[in-house]
Amino acid sequence: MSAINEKSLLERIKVGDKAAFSVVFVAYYSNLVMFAITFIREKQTSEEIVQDVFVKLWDNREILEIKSSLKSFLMKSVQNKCIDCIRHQKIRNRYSENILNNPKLFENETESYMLYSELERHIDIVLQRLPDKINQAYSLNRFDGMTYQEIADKLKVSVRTIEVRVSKALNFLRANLKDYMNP
Amino acid sequence: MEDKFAEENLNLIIRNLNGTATLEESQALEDWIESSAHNQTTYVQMKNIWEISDRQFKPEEIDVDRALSRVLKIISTSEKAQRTLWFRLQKIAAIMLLPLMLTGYFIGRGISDHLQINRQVTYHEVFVPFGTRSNLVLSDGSIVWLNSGSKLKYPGQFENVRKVFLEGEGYFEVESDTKHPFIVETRTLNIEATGTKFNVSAGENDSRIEITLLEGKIEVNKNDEAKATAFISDLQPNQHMTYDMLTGDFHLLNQNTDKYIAWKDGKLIFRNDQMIDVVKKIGQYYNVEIELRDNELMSYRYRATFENESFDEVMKLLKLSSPIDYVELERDTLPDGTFTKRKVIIFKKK
Repeated sequence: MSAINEKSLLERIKVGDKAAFSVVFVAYYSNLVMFAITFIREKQTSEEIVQDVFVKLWDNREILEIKSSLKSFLMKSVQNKCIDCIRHQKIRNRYSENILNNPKLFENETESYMLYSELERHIDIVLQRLPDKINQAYSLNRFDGMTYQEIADKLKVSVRTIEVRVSKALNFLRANLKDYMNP
Repeated sequence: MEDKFAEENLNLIIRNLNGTATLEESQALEDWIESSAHNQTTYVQMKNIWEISDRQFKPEEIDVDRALSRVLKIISTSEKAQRTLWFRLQKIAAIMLLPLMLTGYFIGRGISDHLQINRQVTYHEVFVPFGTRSNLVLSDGSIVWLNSGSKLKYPGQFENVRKVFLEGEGYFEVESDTKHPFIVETRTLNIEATGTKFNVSAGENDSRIEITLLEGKIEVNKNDEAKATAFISDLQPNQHMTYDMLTGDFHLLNQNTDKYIAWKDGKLIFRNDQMIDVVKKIGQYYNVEIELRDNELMSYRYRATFENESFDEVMKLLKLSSPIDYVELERDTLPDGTFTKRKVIIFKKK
């Protein structure tokens, strides 16, 4: 969604245009849920958080002052709610401890963070350019959710080897996507 | 040496991302990140890639339409509570005012029930069922409103030319981009724009296509595969074109364009329109079959604005303000337990 469009949509939302609100909702909902999932790791709570953010957006539309982009504003709201949710111990997972102990490592600068739909395809394309073994290790871990141990057993190599391959893949992805990604 | 160092940091990053880092390791990473802006960017980008690579949860499984209906419902309920007093005041003032909720309801249903997206192919297709309306944003940021019973085919990602296929009625707000023309293809005509607002009505059963331009400039061409594209006309703002598909004749009218795009805001506007067109629009809008049983009535000129009224209310007002009367037929039950479409017959008032 372009900046011009966002601005006119926001203007319309401010005067109570539900059609404009629906357009923004449909454009961002899935992406924001995917973003919330990176904190919450659970779909339903993530959806509730994002829906809540949209209800608040509507309720406060008249007094709303968005200085950043709309995308960044929505992501920031979702992120804050996710962290609140973890802080109040509503959600416990193996990441939540880390998020609470090292908030600096997990609170994203939402202006530059890229959405699922903006990045997903590009990751797939760059992965194709990696040697099969490295692509495979990364895909089994990230896409299929297998642990290093499980992958090592399956491929009959050491866990250390898998660790190295996954690192190489991530390093390669970042090196090839960094110019495409926001600074 | 440098490679070794980078690899250590890389492992530190990954262990933090997959939740296996110790507290000391997290602290070490934090220090590394804070030591330079470059490190900061590297970490953020890697984290971003890592998280987007997670396919345990699939975006296709997120039901956007259901979520939107739910949110619109919450919003409407809280508004209803807030506006009770306001509603009462409006009643006292005897203003014919609309149930505000209806817009949201229609939009919610339009999108919710029938967004048919096929992710396998490059083209998506949206069909908006009769009696509802819907809107969507294309990949270039252009916005399309689709009227009841309309169909739009569009690519997930535009290439050089921004081209969509329309059957029915759509209102387009095209993102400006002079290098990549935006083309709406209908059965007979192509409408070409760069950055404008316009409405196209090209129903499957219509013998004419109607195009209305609000802002900018558009070019209308014949869409004939056998011949080279044939230029028909340019349109200027506030111009309305009627193109007859049988004869190939067209008319340009300069006039207020509001009534042609009112449908997208849940309004029906008639300005000296013939009764035959009026009932057709009402029927399409509310998904009711309306039969006009009097030849004299067909050309009766009618003028009115309906905003978020129910079908029954519209018919009552129509009866009050024109020489008509009507009956509604009993609806039959279909084998699957649903009812047949509502049917109304209009005749001349005695």
